[in-house]
Amino acid sequence: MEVIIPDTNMAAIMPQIILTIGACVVLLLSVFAHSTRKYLGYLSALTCIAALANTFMIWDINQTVFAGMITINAYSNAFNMIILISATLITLVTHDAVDDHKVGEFFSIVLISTLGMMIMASSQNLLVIFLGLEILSIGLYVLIGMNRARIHSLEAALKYFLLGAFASGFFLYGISLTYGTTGSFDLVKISRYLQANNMLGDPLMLSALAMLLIGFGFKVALVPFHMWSPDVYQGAPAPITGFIATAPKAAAFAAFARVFVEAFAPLHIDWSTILYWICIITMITGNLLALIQTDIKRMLAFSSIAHAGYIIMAILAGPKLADSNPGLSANSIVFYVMVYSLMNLTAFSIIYIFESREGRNLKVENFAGFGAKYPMLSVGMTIAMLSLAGIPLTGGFIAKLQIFSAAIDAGYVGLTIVAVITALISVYYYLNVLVKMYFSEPEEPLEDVEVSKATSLALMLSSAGIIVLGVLPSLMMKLM
Amino acid sequence: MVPLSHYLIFTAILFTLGVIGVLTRRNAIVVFMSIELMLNSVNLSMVTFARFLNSMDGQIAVFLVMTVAAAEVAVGLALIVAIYRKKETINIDEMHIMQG
Repeated sequence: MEVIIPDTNMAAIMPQIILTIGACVVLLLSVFAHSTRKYLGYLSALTCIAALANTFMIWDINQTVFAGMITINAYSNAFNMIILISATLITLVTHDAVDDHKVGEFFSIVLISTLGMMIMASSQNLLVIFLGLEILSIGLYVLIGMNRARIHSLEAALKYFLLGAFASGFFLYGISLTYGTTGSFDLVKISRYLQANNMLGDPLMLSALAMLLIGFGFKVALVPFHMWSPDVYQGAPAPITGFIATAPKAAAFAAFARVFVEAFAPLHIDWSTILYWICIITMITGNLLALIQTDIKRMLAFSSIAHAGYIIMAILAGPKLADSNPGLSANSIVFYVMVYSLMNLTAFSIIYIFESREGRNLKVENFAGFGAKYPMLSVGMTIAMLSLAGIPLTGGFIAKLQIFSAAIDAGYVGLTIVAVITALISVYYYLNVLVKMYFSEPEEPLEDVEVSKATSLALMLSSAGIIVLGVLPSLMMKLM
Repeated sequence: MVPLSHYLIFTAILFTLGVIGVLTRRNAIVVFMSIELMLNSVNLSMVTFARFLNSMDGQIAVFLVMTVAAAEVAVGLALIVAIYRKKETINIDEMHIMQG
């Protein structure tokens, strides 16, 4: 029997290997060396930074390894970079947030979850994408429910778990039907098959597309598959919410774009109509429901649903731009996800700082008087809110500009008009937070809040990142 | 030989039963069982496709799916037990602390 040994290039998956080793070391240290427990947060941050440095070292490699399971190129590396930056900032912010006896599990699960996201973002095989999705999801179920004393986190975890597993079922059925029609799990082979055979309107392929859309739609929280996200955002501890809102979405969008824009491009007519309407209702519902929220984390949950809608515009535009301007759609997705991650991380970290002082969930009106009392944190929050609203000189503005210009180039003028109108609506609820912070008097005097050095470093880096990307977007574009 | 369409219709029926179970049942464990039914119907369809396409990929995929499902069970049941200790119920209609 002939045995084919696949092309194993360990250098190409070095960042993933570093994370795996880091996760094991963190877990073992917490068990066998109790005195190291208070440094494990820093150790995890260092692991992420090492993996990030390694990602930059393999940036120029453009190859597919492990028999087509993993593909390394600028696109997957850019998403890996975003995921690792999010993980680094989250580990810095939470380094002192976890009970001493849980610290090992917490950080090793954060690292393993990050590993799952990176696998998802850099795979070109549907099964490996599914595997990455499950590695990240199972880690997140545990992270959300880790605080067993808080019934909110447990409920959030159960909801996320049941709906997540439900959506995985759909996703898997979609994979199975794609395999049945095209004969392969490999996205390149699927793409080749679809170009050679006209599968437009094929019932099996249509159901496969629908199932995959449901699976991805759930992961990135598109309306009507968004029900889990407000509850989970509100129930989970704030730094974990920041993590759920950013890195898994980056991974899911990487896979979403790779599957639909690259592999299913010949079927664009089939899936674009339904995705077009999903995109419109996502933008409208997300922004309108965010207007009426009082809990700040719920408000940001609906805002991130709306942002997912904007990113879908670039995915819709992708196949149409394949001939005229091939990089535009992918670049605008990467840029948007990068900025989106930074601004959400900043906002959620600041919310977490206040929440851990208050010991309860914050409402928007609780921010009254923060501007005068906590000037530095308020500046961070202001930058995050302005960028989320898409005000010029912040990354959020450039990101929206790129997405909209990609959509207009592809001929989606109506869609862009809806997007601009909903973006204007969103300015109201973002600025409302700022108005409360700077122009309202607090009902009771505010107490001091302590911010550790690592947290303030993470906050400074992320808010500086938002501004830098807004003023010098070419820095990021050069990487692509 | 039984034609492909028979298998596909069978798996589609199983999958639909699973979906209906998730949407109508209120006990978290029964919901979870329905999800397992969905995953198993997918496994069956993968094996079917593998047989008819004469490729091994689908059969390997089933092993991956079973492993992942087992890992999910471990986390899911632990969560359900933790919730039961706290609330003394696993009815998912009672999970409504957060509303907006």
